[in-house]
Amino acid sequence: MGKCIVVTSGKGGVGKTTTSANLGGGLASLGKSVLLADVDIGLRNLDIIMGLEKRIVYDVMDVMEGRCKIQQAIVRDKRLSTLYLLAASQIHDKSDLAELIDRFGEIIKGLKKEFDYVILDSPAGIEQGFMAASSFADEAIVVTTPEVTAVRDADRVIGLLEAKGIKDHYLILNRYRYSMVKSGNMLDVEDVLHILGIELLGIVPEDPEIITFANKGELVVTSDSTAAGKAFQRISRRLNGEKVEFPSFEEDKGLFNKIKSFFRARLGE
Amino acid sequence: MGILDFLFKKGDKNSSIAKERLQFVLTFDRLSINPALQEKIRDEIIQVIDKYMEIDKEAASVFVESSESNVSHLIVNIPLKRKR
Repeated sequence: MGKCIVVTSGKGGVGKTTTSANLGGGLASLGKSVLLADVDIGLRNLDIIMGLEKRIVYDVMDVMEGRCKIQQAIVRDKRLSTLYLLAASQIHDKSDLAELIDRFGEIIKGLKKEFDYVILDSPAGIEQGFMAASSFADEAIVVTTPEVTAVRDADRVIGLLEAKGIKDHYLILNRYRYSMVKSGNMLDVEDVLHILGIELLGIVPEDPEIITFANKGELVVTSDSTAAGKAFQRISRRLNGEKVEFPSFEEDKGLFNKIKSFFRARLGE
Repeated sequence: MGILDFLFKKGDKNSSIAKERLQFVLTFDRLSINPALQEKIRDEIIQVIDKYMEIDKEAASVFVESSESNVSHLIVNIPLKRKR
């Protein structure tokens, strides 16, 4: 029996979809079978992040309303052979919501039997979409950035997850800028964890490569040469139950320090 | 601390301001109360004590604070002068 994990944040634009896709890619790289389900009905994005937008024929709404079988709606990733996507519908159908949520639950139950991990990319906000996604999850990942607005919304979401009985919830701190933290101009990870009272799953540094990879429809987690890619690899391993050390702040060295440590290494210091 | 001291507090890191402000809003968010309600609670508590004791109303303070373990406390500090 697989595990269902919801990726959520409260605030929009903090990197939920990017996180979902890269954790899925990271877990698949570890040999796990992963289904990524986009629950953001009406505003789907997982397909484009993964570069699968041209391959979507059916979506989750088609499955729920009986227009196709679940197998027909699941699309395999281009590179990772154990990574699959179930796309959200672009059309927001206002049919009986309670019934749809029930059917969605049945679909998740079935998928958990087939995959090691079912990852739900929750929509922003705390409305029905979020409620539906978190209703069927065994665990939750809360994504936030070190900004007052995002942290405040994350706190609200954590409260709702606890009310729903999801005790296993972890934080991913995204778009972390080590240099700003160092100069005292950004909330540091300790502050955020203290304020939210939640366990840390990982830190993803701010990295322009996230955008260039998204532009190409590729997952940054498959790249060993990017800071964000390496961060997502570590987080995926932690999620998969491995103990992975948190790298120190020193990792984000400026150019000057990089040159210094290069020469030090040369001199055998 | 006077208002001027507060406004021109020196050496305060930008991130510390963010942390303090967040802790303030989250205390109220978590309890679903707003600062206006806190004012009301404060005034009524002072009124009750004032019925029985002579108190220093100016120095009285009633506020909600989150502890290290994220539990909210109502802190009431009312200097008493004498029995009425």
